[in-house]
Amino acid sequence: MLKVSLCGVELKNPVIMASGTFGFGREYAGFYDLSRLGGICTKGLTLEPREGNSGRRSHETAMGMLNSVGLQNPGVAAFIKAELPFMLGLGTAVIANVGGSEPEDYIKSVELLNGTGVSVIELNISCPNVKRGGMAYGIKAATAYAFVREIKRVCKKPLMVKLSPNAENIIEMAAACEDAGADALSLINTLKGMAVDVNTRRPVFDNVFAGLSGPAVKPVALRMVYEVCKSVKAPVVGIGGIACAADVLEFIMAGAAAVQVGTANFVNPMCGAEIVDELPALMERLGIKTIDEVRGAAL
Amino acid sequence: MGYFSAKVLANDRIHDGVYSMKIAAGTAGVRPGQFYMLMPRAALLGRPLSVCELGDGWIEFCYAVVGKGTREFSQLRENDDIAANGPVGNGFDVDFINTRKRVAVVSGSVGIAPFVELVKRLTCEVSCFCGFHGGSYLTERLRNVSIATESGAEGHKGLVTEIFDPRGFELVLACGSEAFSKAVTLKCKDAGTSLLISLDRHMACGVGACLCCTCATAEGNKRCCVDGPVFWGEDLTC
Ligand SMILES: Cc1cc2nc3c(=O)[nH]c(=O)nc-3n(C[C@H](O)[C@H](O)[C@H](O)COP(=O)(O)OP(=O)(O)OC[C@H]3O[C@@H](n4cnc5c(N)ncnc54)[C@H](O)[C@@H]3O)c2cc1C
Ligand SMILES: Cc1cc2nc3c(=O)[nH]c(=O)nc-3n(C[C@H](O)[C@H](O)[C@H](O)COP(=O)(O)O)c2cc1C
Ligand code: FES
Repeated sequence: MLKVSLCGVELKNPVIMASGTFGFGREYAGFYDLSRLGGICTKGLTLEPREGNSGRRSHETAMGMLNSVGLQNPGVAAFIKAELPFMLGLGTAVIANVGGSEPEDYIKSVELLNGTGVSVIELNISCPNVKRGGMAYGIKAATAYAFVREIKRVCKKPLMVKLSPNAENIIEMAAACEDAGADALSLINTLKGMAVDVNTRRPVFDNVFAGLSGPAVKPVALRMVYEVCKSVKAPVVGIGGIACAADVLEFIMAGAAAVQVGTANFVNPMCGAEIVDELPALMERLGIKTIDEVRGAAL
Repeated sequence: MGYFSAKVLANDRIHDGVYSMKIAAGTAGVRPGQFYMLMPRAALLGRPLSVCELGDGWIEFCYAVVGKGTREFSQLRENDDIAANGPVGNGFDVDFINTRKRVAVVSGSVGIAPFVELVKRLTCEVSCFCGFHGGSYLTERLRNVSIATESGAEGHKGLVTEIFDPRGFELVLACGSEAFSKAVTLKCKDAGTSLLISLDRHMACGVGACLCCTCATAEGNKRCCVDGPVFWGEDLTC
């Protein structure tokens, strides 16, 4: 009933945990059986280890949050050695999220991951939190095209490109990535935002800008997924503010092949399991037999 | 344990803007210095609150009303439900602390909360130094207390760091705001006295996954929520 296929990879269900909100799975393994999930995206990986940003890293907003974590991660090689074996034993699809700065670093990271058991590589060209966290590739369609082509040439796994809502034109961006060989697209990453501390009269974050996520961004994310699904053939994974089974169906009906759940994990650590539980019941109530049957119904 | 919904047993104002809330929950294995992420209904993220005291089937939190979430908590009544995740973090190692001879407890404002359960369990010689803005609270539940208030309402007029000297103590235990933590860490480093300090960081997940709560240590970034919140002062580089 819930099975979906994402660029050749069979997922038990369309519910994937979003990069940066689920660590490497370990932290949530005590809460529920993670094999119930459709998949897990790793924290953004870079070739070299990174310590991330200085100063405050999170700030709650109205039904959302800003984060300025900045790709803190142990590096691809350490991930493969210390984290991936555990993840591969979880019984769910593992999607490696790759970030970086220079194209050569991305290429080396992808080459390292080619030889592993990850199911999909998610290319992050959309991190707003590091000066050169890949965001540079995620704004202009022409830049993204050239970059994705280069990565596609070396990538032996299905390549999913994660788009930024801060792209100049999301439809052109999606088309450019598809033309460059992306097997799937995922969107949205966080929206660029900021906050000011009225006590100190200064921006809350050392980096000034930070990424907005959570229920507050869902209507914008849904609109972008809808627009992209209308204009490309590649499967699209919808992300942004998803917190319950009805949210999942909204994205599926807007054309998404699957979805990712991010910030909702912070609100309720059980939400992954709860959404997977709720989905069949909700579908039954709505007279829906399979996910495939309603995909794109709203297009 | 884990993520659960609990009944509020009592929620009383104990001082201007400071409340004590008891919830029904199991306490087996829970350590002083650990905390729970309590979930407000009208806001998104959990609010970390330290275990203040543990009893038979209940946990007490003491919290200052500073914003949206704690204001909502202050309006909870007996029998209301609240969602919580915990216990989280390492907490204080009581057996280890009890092997030290003279121990000082230093707190800033509501940073006094975790020391109620801790001091109850200490068998070593302990002196407490507690700082407040206005009047004091919870001090009657500690031992051997010296008070400093910024307003001069009670005890020494000024900061608690002015009445506390780490020399002469084998171990210092501290909890307070970020500014307080910096001052106490420096003081203990200067005096060469060991320090175990419970740090205050903004948190999102409270399970170790988001990396929003990191603090810099000699061994790189650590997560305040699951690697802490209690750290050795000498390891901190922030
Ligand atoms: C490990 C730990 C234990 C704590 N124990 C206690 C306690 O026992 N008693 C107590 O009164 N307070 C405690 N605090 C501080 C308490 O978590 C904050 O005062 C509370 O989260 C404020 O929430 P709010 O919605 O009222 O404020 P708002 O300002 O509306 O909160 C907005 C966001 O900022 C966060 N935030 C705001 N101030 C702080 C702060 N000082 N520390 C961390 N996050 C903050 C909130 O969690 C929320 O995500 C503790 C903090 C930590 C990290
Ligand atoms: C704390 C935090 C860290 C994140 N880190 C990453 C990351 O490393 N790589 C990435 O591609 N996206 C990252 N994201 C973005 C999420 O994967 C997701 O695209 C975004 O938060 C929107 O979904 P949500 O509203 O469900 O959270 C992060 C988000 C948050 C909140
Ligand atoms: S609050 Fe998420 S890692 Fe500590």
